[in-house]
Amino acid sequence: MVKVKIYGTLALDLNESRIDLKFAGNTLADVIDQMAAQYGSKVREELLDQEGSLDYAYGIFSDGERVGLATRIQDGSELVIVNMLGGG
Amino acid sequence: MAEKVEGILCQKIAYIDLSRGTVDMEVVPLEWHRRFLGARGINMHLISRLTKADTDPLGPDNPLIIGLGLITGLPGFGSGRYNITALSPLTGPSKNRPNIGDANIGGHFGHEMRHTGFDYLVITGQSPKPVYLLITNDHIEIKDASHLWGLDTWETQKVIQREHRDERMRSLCIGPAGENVARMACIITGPKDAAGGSGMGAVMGSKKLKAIAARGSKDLAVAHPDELLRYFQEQQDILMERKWIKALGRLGTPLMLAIAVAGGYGAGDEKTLMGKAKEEAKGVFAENLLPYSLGHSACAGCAVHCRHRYLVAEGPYAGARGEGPEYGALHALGLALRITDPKEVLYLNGLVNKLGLPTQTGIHVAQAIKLYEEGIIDDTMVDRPLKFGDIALYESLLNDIAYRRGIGDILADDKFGYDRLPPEAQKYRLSSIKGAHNVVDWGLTVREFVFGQITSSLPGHVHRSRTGLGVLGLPAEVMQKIYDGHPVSPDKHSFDGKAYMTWWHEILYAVCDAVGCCQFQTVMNSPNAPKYEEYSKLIYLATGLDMPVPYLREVGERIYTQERMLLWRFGFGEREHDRVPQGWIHSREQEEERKKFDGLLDEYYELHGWDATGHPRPETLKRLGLLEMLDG
Repeated sequence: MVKVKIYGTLALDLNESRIDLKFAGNTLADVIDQMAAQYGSKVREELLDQEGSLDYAYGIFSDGERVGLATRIQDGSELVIVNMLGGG
Repeated sequence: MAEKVEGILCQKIAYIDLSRGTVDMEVVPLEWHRRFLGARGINMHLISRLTKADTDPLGPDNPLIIGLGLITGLPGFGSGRYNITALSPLTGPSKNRPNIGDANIGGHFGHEMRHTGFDYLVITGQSPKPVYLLITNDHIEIKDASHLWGLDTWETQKVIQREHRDERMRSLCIGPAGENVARMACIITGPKDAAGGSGMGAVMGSKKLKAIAARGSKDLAVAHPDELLRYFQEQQDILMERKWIKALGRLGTPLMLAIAVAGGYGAGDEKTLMGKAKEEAKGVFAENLLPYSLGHSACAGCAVHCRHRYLVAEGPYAGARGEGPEYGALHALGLALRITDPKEVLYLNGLVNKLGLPTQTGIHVAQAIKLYEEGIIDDTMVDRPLKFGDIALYESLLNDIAYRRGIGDILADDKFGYDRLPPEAQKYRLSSIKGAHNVVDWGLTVREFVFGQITSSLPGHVHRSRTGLGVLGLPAEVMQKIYDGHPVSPDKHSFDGKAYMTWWHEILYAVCDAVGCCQFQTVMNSPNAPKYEEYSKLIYLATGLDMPVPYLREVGERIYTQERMLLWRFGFGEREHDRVPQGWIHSREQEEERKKFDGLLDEYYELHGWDATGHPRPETLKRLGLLEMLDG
């Protein structure tokens, strides 16, 4: 199981603040695929840019550190997805 | 391109002496625009000419300056911004000695003032009785404000509008905090736009100046109106498609709290959460403010609308309303006071705005409670026990600070109040940076944020260089491209390139502020946001002045080095003032990190053209046309 906590606009769009995924993949890219399969194309549209890379408008963190699409995600991991702003 | 010197370059500066009751005015010298653009740049130029190292910040000679940006008043780029500048009574080396004071502020006042024909107000002297300024087309009147004295900031604005039967009249004003010269007092316009952080409201109160009301109907004659409008539309269309802008427009800066908690920095730092579990902090996350939102509003000239208008409809805080709160308020009036109920934060946010106190005053309240817990403030000094979680107590203390009553009178003196507390209070002093006390320790995690804050030309403030790109996780090659080919690590833990990054943002933001654009609409949050190229085009279309990118960069250097010279004048421009405060060091590891921050200074000074002691070199001053500042 991978716990995904979601804050900000994606939480509003998906109407979910926490998703428990029965994770069958290896990497963050697989997590996003699985979320998209469950919640639709909005997940990809928001989290990825036009080239398919992670969009800098969002941050995905594990234990306070950013993770990338190729980062290996272990079963039992907790991820946080949030809009990114640099200042306020 | 030939320069066309007319139109909005012919706006006026007014010198208002409240002691003599006189107003003199002239056209803003074009040379000032060429050298400093406007707003912060010209304000600081005036401060450098009109003040000395021993000018009393609460005396008649301290000029309170309202200065608009080059494009303030035009419809785009977040042009509702301008600067309010004076010597600070909050951060100086002693009670009667000054430091730099400045605030970049939004709302609608700047637009309204620009349409009166005035770009700058320089207010000196002290009135024997309360007054306010009425600014209309080419005219300034000093009016009696006896009937306004004692009103809060919201009432003041309303009464002035009613008096003049004009709902479009906009005012800057002080509340009880400014009237009573609480040193941290701010100036408010609208429900929440504030010139806070360096005691500008206390300066205004010391002059018995309750408000500045503006209503203008003069046209702004721009150099190339059709092209300018097209350019505004084009840039706005690009901007409004960005995901980060959409997020700001839906949830505002409160989003920063979730980012900070997820990333373990800022208000999300475990220590800053005051022992609150991260789960509890979520009570005041952006989404949890939405049930009270009436929609979002914006400053003039901005399509982003990044702040809530809110109303608490029921419960013990029914009727609480206002705008905001911003990220900083969620910390200072929330987590720092161990509050995680959004209704309580919204209530206190409205209260401080009405009193004319900055939201950061919540930190003073938290500090007082800590001193009470330590037995330093005892029951003889307060009329009730000070404890966390007591909202009625918070309300009472905030009022006491604003009205300088009881313990509030001591707290209203900020760092100078410690001298009136038992001697053991000294060891609980909060950290200071360049005389700015009460600077929150966010942890040393994000190197560029920390370095920008400790070197900032506005003591303790992060917005001189908010290096937001560093936390966006951009690839190293993208970072290098942004920063002129200079390698800058995208890793927040790394020190690599962080001196360059900080310098780069300092120079750009100096230009952004002086042009009158909102920092949210430059590269704070996105590498694709407007920067020099866009400002250059904007300035040309609006004013006719041809200022290519290298020219603007030099103006940015000039503005920043001018501020460094002022810091030097006031006793805060030495290398030792650019160090991480000792109070932020809690471990041997952080002691080592502190040395690495020190290690960034040489490169940082070199980039600015300053010597190893942190003083601008004479040749730098000569190049920037600031050599005369060596004499003062």
